[in-house]
Amino acid sequence: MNQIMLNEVQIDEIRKLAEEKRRSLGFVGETPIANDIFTILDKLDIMLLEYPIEPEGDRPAFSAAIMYSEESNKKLTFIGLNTADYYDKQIFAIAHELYHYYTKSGSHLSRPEYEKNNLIEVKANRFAAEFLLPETVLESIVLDEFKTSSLEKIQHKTLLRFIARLHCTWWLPYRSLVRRLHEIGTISSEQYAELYVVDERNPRGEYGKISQAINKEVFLKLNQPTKNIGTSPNKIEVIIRNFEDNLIDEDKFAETLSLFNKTPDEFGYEIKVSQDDLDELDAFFSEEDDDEN
Amino acid sequence: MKINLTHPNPALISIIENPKQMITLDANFLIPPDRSRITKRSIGFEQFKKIWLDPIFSAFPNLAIHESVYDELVGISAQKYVDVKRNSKPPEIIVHKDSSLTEIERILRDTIESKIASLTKYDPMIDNKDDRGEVKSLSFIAVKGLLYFAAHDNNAIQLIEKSEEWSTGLDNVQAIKMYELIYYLCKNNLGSKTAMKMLYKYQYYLTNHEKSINPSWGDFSSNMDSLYELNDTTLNF
Repeated sequence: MNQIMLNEVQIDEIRKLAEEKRRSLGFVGETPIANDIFTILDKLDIMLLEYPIEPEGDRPAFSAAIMYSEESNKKLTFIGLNTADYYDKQIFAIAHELYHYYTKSGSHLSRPEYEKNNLIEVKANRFAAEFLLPETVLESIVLDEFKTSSLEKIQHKTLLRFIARLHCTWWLPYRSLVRRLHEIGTISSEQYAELYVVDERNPRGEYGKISQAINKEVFLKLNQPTKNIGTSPNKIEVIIRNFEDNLIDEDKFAETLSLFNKTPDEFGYEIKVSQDDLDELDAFFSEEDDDEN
Repeated sequence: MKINLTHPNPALISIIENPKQMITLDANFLIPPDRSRITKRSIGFEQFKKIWLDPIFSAFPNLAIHESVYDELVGISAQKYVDVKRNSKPPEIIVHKDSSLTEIERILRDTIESKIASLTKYDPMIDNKDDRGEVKSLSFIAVKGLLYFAAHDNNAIQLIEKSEEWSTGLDNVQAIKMYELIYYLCKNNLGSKTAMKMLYKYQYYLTNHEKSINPSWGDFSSNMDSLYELNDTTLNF
């Protein structure tokens, strides 16, 4: 199936939206968002739920999901993030979900394959790229560096080094950067095709070696799944309040917290059973066991 | 789970008066409770059968489960137990099947199911396993006008008890909790009193927190006596 292409008007709308949102969040000009994407979620009062979900067979796992719920007339927004994905893709996925948040395009579960053929998803991907690295900034960087807006005559290795520097500064996935350079007409279709098939995650590959020479720490960070299990402090508070209000029992409390690698103990709720009670239960049930035998 | 002894439960009163009424069971009434995370001891199925299931089946001749609850039992001992009860003549348990719903009942069931599902982890669109049994059971019995649902899960109980506040459509369904049937069995000499006391302790009065919110066995039984105006001394240990 052919991929959907955005027209100039649609691209312009997305560019303006991304610029406006970046500015309102305090990111002006050549300021990378990178890791600050998580702070942005806090600022927007969006609760983040992190959990690693591996793909099942050839069905790609979701990247991120945005959900809304309403409680006592207060609208709650959650982003579920699949932390089994590479870290730079996690950042991109959050930026993608922010498009749905800003445009109120509804509850949404993003799967990589589905997105290429759906207009809203193509727009959300374009927004994510624009939000993380604005087109005007990218054009300006290219011009500053090469003194020309066209890189068609630039050799492959030079392009790889350039992309590696962009990658480690702006934290946009390698392939998104390649796509951005093609979208703004800086590289040719042949260069795009050649760059797109590079084994970009392999630390021993050409691109991996170049990137590590530039910034090993960041390259390795961006190319690893974090597998984090966690949630916003607000969400943990909801779980604790549910327990305090006797809406869930201790077993469910401990079980739910364990999903986020937390224990009741950490919040001052130690689950204790007296030795006398344990002995009493043991004596009774052991007797029953003997009867059965 | 917190025990509520502030008001008598009309469902238990009705069951005390006529134990032959149909009671639909949630899966946690048929599967041994497992608090081994806390106690390092679980209850084996044979033990559970002897102290709980056999007395329950001898006390109530019209028990039922929904087919989705039966599905939850696949591959575990409880399934064989239910199969024997189901195939006995006359059957000692029946399985509610959605295929028995008329077209109008199905529409009504879907409406109730969507209302309940939004308050649980079950999503009818993907038909996941989480909370599936309780959602399917409750919507079925609500549509069929069946009254009693016996459960140990706090969420299922709240769907019934807060039906008006949460608009779940379960206004006519009544919940019967495990501790109420522990009391019933004990009071009617239908189960070992020591076993009932131990089951009560295991489920409701084990941790320091539970001891701070729930009554001891002695207080529980005397409070239940007062609530249901039963004053003999069969619960003294």
